[in-house]
Amino acid sequence: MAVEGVHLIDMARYLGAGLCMGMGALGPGLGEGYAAGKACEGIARSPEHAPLLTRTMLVGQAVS
Amino acid sequence: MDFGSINPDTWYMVAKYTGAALAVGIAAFGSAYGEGFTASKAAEAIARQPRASNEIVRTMLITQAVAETAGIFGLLASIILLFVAPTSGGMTQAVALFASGLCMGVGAIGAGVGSGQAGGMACESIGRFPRLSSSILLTTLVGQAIVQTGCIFALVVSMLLSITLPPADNIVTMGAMLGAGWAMGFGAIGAGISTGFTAKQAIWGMSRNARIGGVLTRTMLLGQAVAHAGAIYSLIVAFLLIFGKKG
Repeated sequence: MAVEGVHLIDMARYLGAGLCMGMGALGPGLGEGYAAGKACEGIARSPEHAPLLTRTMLVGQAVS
Repeated sequence: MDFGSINPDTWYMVAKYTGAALAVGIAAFGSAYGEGFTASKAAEAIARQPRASNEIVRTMLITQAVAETAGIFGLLASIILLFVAPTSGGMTQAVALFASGLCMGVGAIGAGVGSGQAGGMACESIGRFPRLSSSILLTTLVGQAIVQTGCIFALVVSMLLSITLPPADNIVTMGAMLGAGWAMGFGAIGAGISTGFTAKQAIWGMSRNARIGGVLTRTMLLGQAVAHAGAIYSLIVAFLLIFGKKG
């Protein structure tokens, strides 16, 4: 197969999309779970604040 | 060295074996790390509370078995690559096989490490409160099972890459296949590790405050579901890259 310049550009586009999504999901994935874990811990420490803690967790996860 | 004289079929086999090695090798790293962490926490708990050692060891073995499933998925993907994938094909399919192995191997790291975190906290908690062992173990198993779902996404993409024929045999599709494998593989790491941390803290909470077990489990599941969002986006991008029409 004869590889032309435009093919390389297209290949780089798709490869870049994959690389970007992969590395981009790494950070928020790590952070959102940490937030959820700390929310669970907080609810265990003071269950009467569970709705507030859950709301805070969801807002934080949404931003992340 | 002149690589021009090598048969294209050879590159296919190289990619196939490299992919199979990556799939099980890197996945084994993840699950072994997690299980080792669980074992270390179990040893700590037994040192603190030797009379509960039977309970602790039982919990350790059960949670380690769940953490091992990440490695088993890697083994499954590796076997599929070695025996179920076609024995010869073009360069595009070679790249797809390599991407398949990369995807499964890297994707299993997070799930293995995360399950290990949860298992470790379970051993520690059961050491401190042996009477709560059944509710702690239930929460642990549920949490660990959700952690493994990221690994299952990686397995699905890995199987798609290794078994389905690429739509076209050109360099553009090569890039798309590699991108899909990379996307799902690395996308699953973060979700795996952090949902494991979520389960770990939920188990901690369960041991300190077992009366609100329902609220804790619900929060854990909600948090884990949101934390998996990144992995789901990666799954969607991987599907688009594998099946989308590339002009």
